[in-house]
Amino acid sequence: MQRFDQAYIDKVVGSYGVPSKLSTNDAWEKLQKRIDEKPAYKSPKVVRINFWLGTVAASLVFLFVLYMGMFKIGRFSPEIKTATLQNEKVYLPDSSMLVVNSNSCAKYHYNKFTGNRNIQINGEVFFDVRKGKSFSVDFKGGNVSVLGTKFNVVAYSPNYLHLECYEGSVVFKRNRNEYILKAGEGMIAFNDSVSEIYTLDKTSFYDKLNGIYYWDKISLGELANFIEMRFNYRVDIDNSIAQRNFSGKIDLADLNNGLNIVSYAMDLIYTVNHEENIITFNAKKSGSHI
Amino acid sequence: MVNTTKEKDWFKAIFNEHYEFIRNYLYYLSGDMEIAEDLVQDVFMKIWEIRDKINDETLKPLLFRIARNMFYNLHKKKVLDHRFINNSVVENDTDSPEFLLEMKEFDAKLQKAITNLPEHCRTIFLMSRIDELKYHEIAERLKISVKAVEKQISKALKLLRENIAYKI
Repeated sequence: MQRFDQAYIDKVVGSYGVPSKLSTNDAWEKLQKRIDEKPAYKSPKVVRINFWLGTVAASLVFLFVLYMGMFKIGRFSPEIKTATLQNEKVYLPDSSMLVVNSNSCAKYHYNKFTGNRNIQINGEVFFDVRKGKSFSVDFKGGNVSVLGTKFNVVAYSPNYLHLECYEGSVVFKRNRNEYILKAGEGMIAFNDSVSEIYTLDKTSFYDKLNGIYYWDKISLGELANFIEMRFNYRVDIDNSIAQRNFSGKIDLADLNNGLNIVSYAMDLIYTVNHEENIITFNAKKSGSHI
Repeated sequence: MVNTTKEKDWFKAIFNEHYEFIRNYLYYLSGDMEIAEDLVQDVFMKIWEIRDKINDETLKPLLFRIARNMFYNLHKKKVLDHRFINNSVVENDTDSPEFLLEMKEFDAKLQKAITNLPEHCRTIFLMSRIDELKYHEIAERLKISVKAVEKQISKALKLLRENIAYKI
């Protein structure tokens, strides 16, 4: 027992060797093979950004975030949609008012940071805009920007746009052209052509709220287009009469009233198929009646 | 490192100088030569990959640190089973069969007792006794003080003596 003392333990442990299987040389060969097989290692390059470049980049990111925060972030309101001959009054948070007219829809975005207002519409919408930051209206075929004013936009389709300005002034943009409408002026864009700016009847603003429309030389084709959109009917009109011009007021608060006025003034006859929603205009033959 | 030839010469020199120590260290930690020989390859592979950043003065502790980390990350929870080669047991005609049997039993118990030593204590003790490293060399490699090395070695001896005496 005495011989297994500390000195003996030390002696035995000192004689120990590890049970290695590879010699140093073999291990070196193995390692070399691994290094050769492995794709050359490239230590990642540390890109040191120039101080000023970094500052500029950081500023740009900051401005971008600010821009997003101030102008872009935020959702549009739910869409306001109206049925045929229905209209709906909507107030924006700044108390600007919209009247969404028959068969139309609108949604708005009010930016709390900047006070900017953006409206997207399809159809006819009347605007009473409170003075403030920019107010823009986007629709297919153009857009309108204003400060404080009252105006009406008919934009059922990009082929027929009808603007009337009752107070202040609006800038109408279409196909890279800009048109400025002042109070008491209106204009129509039909297909690729744009009408001259015409003067509104003094009663136009109030009439419009009551569904009474005034036109100065509108072709029957354009008028048919408007009636189609407002009443959600298809209007068939003979080519021989489509180019005839109509001037005057039409009460479109009621479909039959409107059709009676048009056909009487233009010496036409019309038929209405209420089941299929089709209106047909034809030239009156001698001896026929409405 | 300026060019590849110089790099390779440098690498071979450090491999020859440190390979066995690192392999043994990994064996002391793992008790498994297969793991030790695999890991030592990984350690030098790592050194080759980061050769651009290596400072020769801190290379030794770096090697041991990489080895320790690799072992901890991969094999820490394995059950240890050291099987050292005992060069002191050499059978010859003068020894009686009883003596040889007794020696073999003692060796088995000693190896078991070494395995049961606390890890830090075991590696330092074996680096000293098997690798024949001086206390200050162990301290340099493991980045500890010479005093700590002395303490661990005397602790190892005490534990082994107690363990062996108890079992015998």
